[in-house]
Amino acid sequence: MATFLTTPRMNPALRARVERAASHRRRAREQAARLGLHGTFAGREKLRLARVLPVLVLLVVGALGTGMYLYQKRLVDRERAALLDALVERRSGLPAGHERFLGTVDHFVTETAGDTAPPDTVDASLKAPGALDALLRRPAVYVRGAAADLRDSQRLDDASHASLKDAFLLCLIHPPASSSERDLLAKVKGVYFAGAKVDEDTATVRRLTEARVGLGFLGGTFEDAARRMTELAGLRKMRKDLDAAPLDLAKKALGAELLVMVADTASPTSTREARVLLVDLTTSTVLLRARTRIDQQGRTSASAFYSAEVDGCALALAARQALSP
Amino acid sequence: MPVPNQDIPPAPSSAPRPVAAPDTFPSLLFPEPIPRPDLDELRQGLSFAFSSGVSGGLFNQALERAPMAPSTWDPRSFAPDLFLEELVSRCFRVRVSGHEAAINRTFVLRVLSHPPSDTRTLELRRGILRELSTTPAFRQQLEQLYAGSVRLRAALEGAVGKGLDPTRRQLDVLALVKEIFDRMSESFEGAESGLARLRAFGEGVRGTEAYRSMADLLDYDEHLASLRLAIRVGADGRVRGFDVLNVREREDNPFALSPVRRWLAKIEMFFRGYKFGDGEVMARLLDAVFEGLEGHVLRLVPLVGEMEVYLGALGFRDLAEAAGLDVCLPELREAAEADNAPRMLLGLFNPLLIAQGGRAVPCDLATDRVDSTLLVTGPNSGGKTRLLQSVALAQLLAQGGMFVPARQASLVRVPALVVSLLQETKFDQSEGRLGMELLRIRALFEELGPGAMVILDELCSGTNPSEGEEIFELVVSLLAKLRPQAFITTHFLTFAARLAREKAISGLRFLQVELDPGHKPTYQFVAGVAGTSLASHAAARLGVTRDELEALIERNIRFPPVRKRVS
Repeated sequence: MATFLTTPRMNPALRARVERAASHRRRAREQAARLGLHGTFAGREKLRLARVLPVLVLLVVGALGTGMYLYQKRLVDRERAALLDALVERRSGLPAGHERFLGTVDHFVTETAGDTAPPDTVDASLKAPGALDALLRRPAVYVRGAAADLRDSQRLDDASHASLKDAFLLCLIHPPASSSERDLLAKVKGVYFAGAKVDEDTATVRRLTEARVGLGFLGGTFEDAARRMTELAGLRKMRKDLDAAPLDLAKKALGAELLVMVADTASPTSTREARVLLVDLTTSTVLLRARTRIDQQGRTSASAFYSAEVDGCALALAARQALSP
Repeated sequence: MPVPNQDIPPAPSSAPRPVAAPDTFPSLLFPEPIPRPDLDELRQGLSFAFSSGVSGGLFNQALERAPMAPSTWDPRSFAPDLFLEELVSRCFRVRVSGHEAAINRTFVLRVLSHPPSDTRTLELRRGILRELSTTPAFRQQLEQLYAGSVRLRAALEGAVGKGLDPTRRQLDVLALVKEIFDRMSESFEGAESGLARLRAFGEGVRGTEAYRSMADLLDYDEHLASLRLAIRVGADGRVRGFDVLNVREREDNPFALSPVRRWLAKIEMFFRGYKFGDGEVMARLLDAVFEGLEGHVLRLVPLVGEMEVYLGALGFRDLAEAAGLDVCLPELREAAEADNAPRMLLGLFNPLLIAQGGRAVPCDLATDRVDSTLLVTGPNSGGKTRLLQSVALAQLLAQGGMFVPARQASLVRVPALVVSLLQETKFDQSEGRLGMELLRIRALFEELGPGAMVILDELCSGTNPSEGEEIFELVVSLLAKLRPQAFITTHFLTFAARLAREKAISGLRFLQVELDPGHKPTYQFVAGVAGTSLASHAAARLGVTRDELEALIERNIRFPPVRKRVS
């Protein structure tokens, strides 16, 4: 009878003795045979409850543990499969080439916001009357932030998250009648830029952060994490996050054909400067790269409360004027 | 004719030799290995002793049931009167490392009281003793071997007590067994006597798988793994910590198990009905190793007693030398019809005297022929009875292959020894003193064969001299027909003188106690018959004179003796 006490290095005679020593029954039988007895006096001992009980407890505990483990594993697998199925479903309708979207956008944004930005340029196609308006009717993605934040790929995520639809975007699409303080103020006064009205007025434009957030779910990173997750609670939270994610908006953002970017740069007192970038994402062509500046001198106290919105609107108007021959 | 030296030739000592046949035991007392019919019983006893530390007297049982060499001597006819038990307990003492060992006296007594008939056995013993006494290194090695065996006996039989780890005890037993066989195989190099058997036995065991397994297990116990440490010492010189540099586990040892296998072995042991722990794993390995060794250790058990016989004989020699006396291995020859060589015992002394711390005066005893009847006469307390004891003990020890209490001796082997020194009065004896004397004579002739040694003290002293002398003469004249070596003391001085004068009985010789000019015995013996027993001297020495007895009577009349009442 084999035993764990023997090793291949043992002499066969020793191995046989170790096997005998391991089994007291066998030893007793051999001893009885040596004495000419037919069997041992004790015979086959009945299994006592005291000996069996620990084994039974061990078996039950082992079986329960194994069962629970298998049940938990099945739940996790089922949850993961459901999550991956939902992910596949959410991915349907994603525009082609969305995988390269953020790479292209980030390249143009960081380049224009950089210290050594390329020179200003205006595409000839934009100089025609109504060309800009026609362009802005195409699906677009918008981001605005401080140049210092936008040029840093690490901070770009936060900057884009903080970038809302604002007075610049509204005035770029729906410009005020003039650059007078009164017209500018009339355009922005009482407007809730985070509200549905502005969103509706700029319906073709989505925020860059929506694309970034959406890709966080729809890209490979989320899927990898779902495959690695072994805890049921973790998978359920991922599913909850996926369900709550604004993926429809993300798909729209990822389908943008135009990039509108505004990088606010440092400027002397009483002036505001910004770099404005329009890029045709379908062809990766820079349509407009311009440094715009507005003068805040001559503003009355009436616009003081709305100075940021007024400045934004003024910068948008200045950008439009940059296209004028 | 002297017996040629027939020492058993030792086996060559270069290569490991095969161990004895399974049912035979190597021996220092017998020329051939001895078969043991109680082998299974001994094996079970040893197995029990190894497991429990209590054997029920394994060693004593093995020795008490040990077969003796074939002998024509009947211990009942000489042992009580020769005080053999006292001789063994007081003279055959074994001292090892400055301490007296507790030997199995019963076994030594049995060996001494059964002198072998076979001359090969005799010469084997003489050869061993001769080599032990002439080569101190061999004696030292035998003592060391015996000391190790005694420790093994204690570990096997007397290891009881609380808190004693049984596994550790069994490992200690194995370590002792290994030490003994190692020592055995490395000792007695160049021995030409039976001592070479011990070396051969040790070498044979060392060549077996069982020995190698034992060595491997002990090595496994001592050296499972090596741990290299770096000790960090602080500025104050104190140890601050240890860093383990590497851990290396033994893999070449056949008992080495991987950590996972060790756990599995423990679980296996639990399901087989043992406790869960490392101890059970080691216990099973110990059982397996010892099972292989049992046969060899079993053969060691009787050897312990046999070593005691030789070390006891050397102890006897030491005791004699301490008393300024010499012992020797005598010249011993077979009895022959025409043996005209003298019997000689020079410097003979009584070992019982030195055992009691008394002074033994050696004497010389020589007779012109072997088959003579020697009548010894002399004064009371002149040493006649001591002489008879000495002669009988010398013959007994000589034929047992031991040292005899004499500086030089030339003896003839006898087929039996009958000693009748004392006749104690027993409460249940059916006859008076003379009757008992006559029963003794009857018993003597019933047992006595030709050529035996007969020792009789004060034959027929229990009746009146004239009638006693008649029986005496009858006995002596008839004894001559059996050609015995007879030694008889008597106080029938006139009768002895007549026998000496008439020379009517063949082979009768006379010896008397030598007296100094002051008529005091010198404890030497010269030819002839004593003229007086000097009973008056003894009486005066012990206060039995007319004057002294009358003084006592006078005192008792005037002052009656008051006996103390014992409440």
